[in-house]
Amino acid sequence: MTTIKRIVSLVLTLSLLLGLVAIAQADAATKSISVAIPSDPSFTVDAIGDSNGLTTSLIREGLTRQGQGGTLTLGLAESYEHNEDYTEWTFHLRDSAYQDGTPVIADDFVWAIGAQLDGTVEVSYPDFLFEIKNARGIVRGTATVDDLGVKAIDDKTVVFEMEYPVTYFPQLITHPMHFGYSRASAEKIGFAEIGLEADAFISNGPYYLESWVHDDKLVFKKNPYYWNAENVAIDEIIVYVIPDESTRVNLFLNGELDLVDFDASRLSAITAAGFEPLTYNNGRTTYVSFNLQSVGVKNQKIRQALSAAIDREALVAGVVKNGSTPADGFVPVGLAGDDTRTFRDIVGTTLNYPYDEARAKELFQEGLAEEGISASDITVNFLTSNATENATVSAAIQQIWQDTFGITVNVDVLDSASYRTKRTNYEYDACFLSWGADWNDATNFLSGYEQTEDHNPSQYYSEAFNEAYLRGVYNTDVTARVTDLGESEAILLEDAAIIPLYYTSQYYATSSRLVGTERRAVIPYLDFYFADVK
Amino acid sequence: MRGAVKLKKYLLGRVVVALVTVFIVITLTFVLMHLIPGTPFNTGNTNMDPDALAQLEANYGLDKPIFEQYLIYLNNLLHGNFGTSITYTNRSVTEIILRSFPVSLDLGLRAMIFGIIAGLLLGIEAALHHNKFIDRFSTVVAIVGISVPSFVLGTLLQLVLGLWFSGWVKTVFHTDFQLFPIARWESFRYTILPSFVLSLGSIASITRMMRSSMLDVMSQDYVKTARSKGISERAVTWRHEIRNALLPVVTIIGRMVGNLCTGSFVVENLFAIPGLGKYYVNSVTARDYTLTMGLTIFYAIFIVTSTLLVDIAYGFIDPRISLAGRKR
Amino acid sequence: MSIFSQKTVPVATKTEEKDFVKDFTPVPKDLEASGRIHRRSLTYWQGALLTLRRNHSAMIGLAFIIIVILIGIIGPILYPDYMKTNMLATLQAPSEKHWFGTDLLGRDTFTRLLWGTRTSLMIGFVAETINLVIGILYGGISGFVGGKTDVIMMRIIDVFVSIPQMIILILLQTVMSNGVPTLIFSLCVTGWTGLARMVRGQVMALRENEYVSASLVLGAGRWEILKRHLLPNAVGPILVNYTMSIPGAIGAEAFLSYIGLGIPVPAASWGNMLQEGANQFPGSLWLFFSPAILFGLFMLAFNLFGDGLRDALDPKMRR
Repeated sequence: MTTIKRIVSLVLTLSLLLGLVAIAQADAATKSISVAIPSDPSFTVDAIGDSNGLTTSLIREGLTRQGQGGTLTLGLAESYEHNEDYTEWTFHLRDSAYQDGTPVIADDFVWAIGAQLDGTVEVSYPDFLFEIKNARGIVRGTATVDDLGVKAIDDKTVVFEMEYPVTYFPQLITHPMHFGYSRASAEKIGFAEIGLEADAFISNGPYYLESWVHDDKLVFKKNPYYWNAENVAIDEIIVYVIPDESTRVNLFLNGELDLVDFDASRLSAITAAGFEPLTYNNGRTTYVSFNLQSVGVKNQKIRQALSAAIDREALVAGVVKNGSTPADGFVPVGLAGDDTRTFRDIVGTTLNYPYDEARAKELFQEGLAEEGISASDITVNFLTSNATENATVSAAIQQIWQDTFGITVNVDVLDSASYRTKRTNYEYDACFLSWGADWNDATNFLSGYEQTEDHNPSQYYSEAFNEAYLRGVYNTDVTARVTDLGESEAILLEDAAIIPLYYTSQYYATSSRLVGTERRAVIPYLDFYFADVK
Repeated sequence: MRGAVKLKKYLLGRVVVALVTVFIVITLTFVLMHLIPGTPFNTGNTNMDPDALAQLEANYGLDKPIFEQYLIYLNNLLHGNFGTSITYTNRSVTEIILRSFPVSLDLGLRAMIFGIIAGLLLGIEAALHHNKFIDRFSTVVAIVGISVPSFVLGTLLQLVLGLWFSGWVKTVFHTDFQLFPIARWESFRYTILPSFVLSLGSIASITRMMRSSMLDVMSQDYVKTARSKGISERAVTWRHEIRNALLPVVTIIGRMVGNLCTGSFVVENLFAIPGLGKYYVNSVTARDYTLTMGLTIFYAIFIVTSTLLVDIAYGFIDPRISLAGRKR
Repeated sequence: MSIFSQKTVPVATKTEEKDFVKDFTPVPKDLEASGRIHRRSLTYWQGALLTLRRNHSAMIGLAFIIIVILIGIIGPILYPDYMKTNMLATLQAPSEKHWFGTDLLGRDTFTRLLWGTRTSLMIGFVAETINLVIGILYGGISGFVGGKTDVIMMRIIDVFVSIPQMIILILLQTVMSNGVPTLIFSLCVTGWTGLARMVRGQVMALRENEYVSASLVLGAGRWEILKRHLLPNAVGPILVNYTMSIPGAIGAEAFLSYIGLGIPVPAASWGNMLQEGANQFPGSLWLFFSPAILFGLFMLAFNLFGDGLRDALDPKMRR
């Protein structure tokens, strides 16, 4: 008996091994790459998937999409036009289909956007859609989803009406909240179940989600029904969920991943293994925000002095060390301006108080005299969060301010949720912040400082800022509006309500066989749409 | 027969007490969670629109007074409903536990078995050869095990065994086979490093405890008596010394089971193991009330049950302690 | 070698005894001499101290512990500037100017190690001593009184163990400032439970012993028995537990640093220095090894001393 069992099991094992070899050989023909993300992704209707926005970009596509080298290209739309004052946008859809062959139609967009506003599906930030007519009203309950400014003229034409002129709308709709989703599929799956499992989602993007082991592994396969399938080079993308960065780097060095993002501390390990460290600008600005009501920093000259005390060159080269560049404004480099140039190209520098220690001390003394206080009277409670970079840079700034002015700076390092609460409640004098672009336009950064009747997130109020900002928002000349917005930025920085520190960058490395990877300042920060393997 | 009835009564009493314990834990955790500042929303860098925020809070009933929220929560619990996670949209707490806990349990048990075997062996050997090399060695192991944080040891092993050793194997034997994969949770090979890293702390505690306990027992009169009666050295060691020395060790092993199966955040994080540990840590920092509450209740039940089992086991092994009827 | 550890002491056989008698003439009885006490009579504590002093490894351990404590006290006074950043000299390898190199902000690792020693010792000793006191009292009472009191006290422990420590810590950090006192406090909230359980187990086992029954019969009070018999006998395991719990507390701080809730910058502690060093792995190894080696040696010393102390305090283990 036992001998027979042994033989049988031996044969089975051998055949299994042979089978594996066969599969491995078959795999060699398909182009497959592996990457890692830090946590299990989310595929709900509003989600960007993972922190890089990669996974959602694989299985969903909008009317437009981010192209190569900071350009914007067409996605599911084959063309679009707008009315004269940019309050109505019309998109004409191409022939494309979901992974199961159902065609993409205009109603997909009407349904998906309406469902996010009226609570049919749960979303985290419905305010991202508030530029669309009546969107805010639907959330408030003063309008119904029938009033929504998204209409399907026919199966191939969808029209968006705006609340105000939106010149950058084609940029805005590369964010997944503006994507469509099939109404029929949503009803079949159940609204609360969409995107929870691999089979509870249908893709209209270049790939579809074949399998998903939670917190572990996702396999994406090419979507044969996708309109541009013939130009999608990579057949299979395997995404592992690996929370720890040092583990991701080790896996990359061992040849198990084709791309990895890493911190400055891993730089030596990457270069030692013969990989070329690359950086990309990830569309964030790191800055210090002041509580303009608090005693120590309510004087404008003192705030300007605090700005002039910081040697941003030394800060990025010595402490941050990830390829970040010193800030010369608030809106980061890489964010779009007009059709050809970026915002920073047009506006130039607006930071009037760059590093100048002598001037800093001078301004500080003037400020003290205006307030009638001495340096020892000033205690700055500096709020920051416990992420390594934030805590480290905050400690550096604390030291700089204390050494330069002889004031007391207390750093308050908190976990991110407590930090946000204290920040929203203004329980700080100065606060460490890093702001990223959700959509590719300067309003993304500047809108927070506009004061309206129900919206004043920063305790900053300036007639001049409001005037310049609103002039920019309602200006339908794409270049002139950038100049207007640049003017408002200059006012903000002259008032020193915030002091920008640096435009952040991120290190990454790719395996030698992977080519054509796109990294950019807006979502998706990582994109394999144009990539190929050698 | 009377003993059995008494035991039954004792057990029933303990279960009732355990339920009360869990109820108190629920209440305290609920209060504490709502005392710490922060909401589960506004996780990005956008200052949320007040309308949108109000709508979201209403969705989760967070706009109601805390006491009302508490009652609603208890009511849901009674109906077996742990609620839906706030940060992991639309995912039920039960689903997360059912999916992730088996992995944590698997990892914890492996580490436990590893820890018990290595710890007892080292501890016994150290005591039998008091002040000899093996004793010193066990001390060093214990010190390393306790003083090296698992994130350090794990990183080190990943680098040395996972990366460098595999690289060496690759160049020498021309094979991609990895004896110690860097991360993830697949076949047996994948479990070796994480189980070892997780077990090191318990190896250390068990070694120290067993050694100390053995030394204690070895100097007891009954051991001397046994030896002087001419019982073989092996029998004395096994039947008298080790058996009795195990008693205090059982208590800490019992406590460890709970800790190992629930407190493996660092190891799970480092080795990318899809366990429950990270949900626990993340849910607290993200103020995901329902998930934190669900996991706390789950862990409380787990810990209370394992304590109960240890107490019962203790009563069976140690003849000096009687479970049900006390002598006095 | 203790004469009671029978294993290595050869037991004389009967034939050997006969040979003794044949070869030697007995010394005449001298009642006065045999009544004389040659060895100074020692109290329990004097004996313990004597045994401890003869134990070389324990004394080396003690010496090292004292040195580390002195480093923690005096070091920061001699090198006060542990926060001094230098953005032009970050992550420098050890040199004459910076013995242990510099960290991410160009701060001197040696100076930070001195300060970190102070912080970690404070956390370890203060937290664990508080836990020790609470644990002994709680466990002692619970185990000794027994019955319903014991059941209730043990269930209270179950509650404490089940509340996530992180919640308490975050709460304390936002209410109090986050620093050493907050951390110590949060380590104490649940830290005493392990020791209390162990002491209770010991006491419960010991109280069934004959000498305890004998004392009871002889009319000793409960407190007397607890103080005189139970606690001294449980002292060995308690000490082992204490020596292991101090690195445990320091390790807990390191774990909390790992998840971002430990001692916050710019303060230094062994835990957050270890974390920072591990973060740089495998580059800038000095950042990791300087706290790691000091911590490891300190733990070794603590264990050597703890072992010696245990042997010395246990009358059965005395020479």
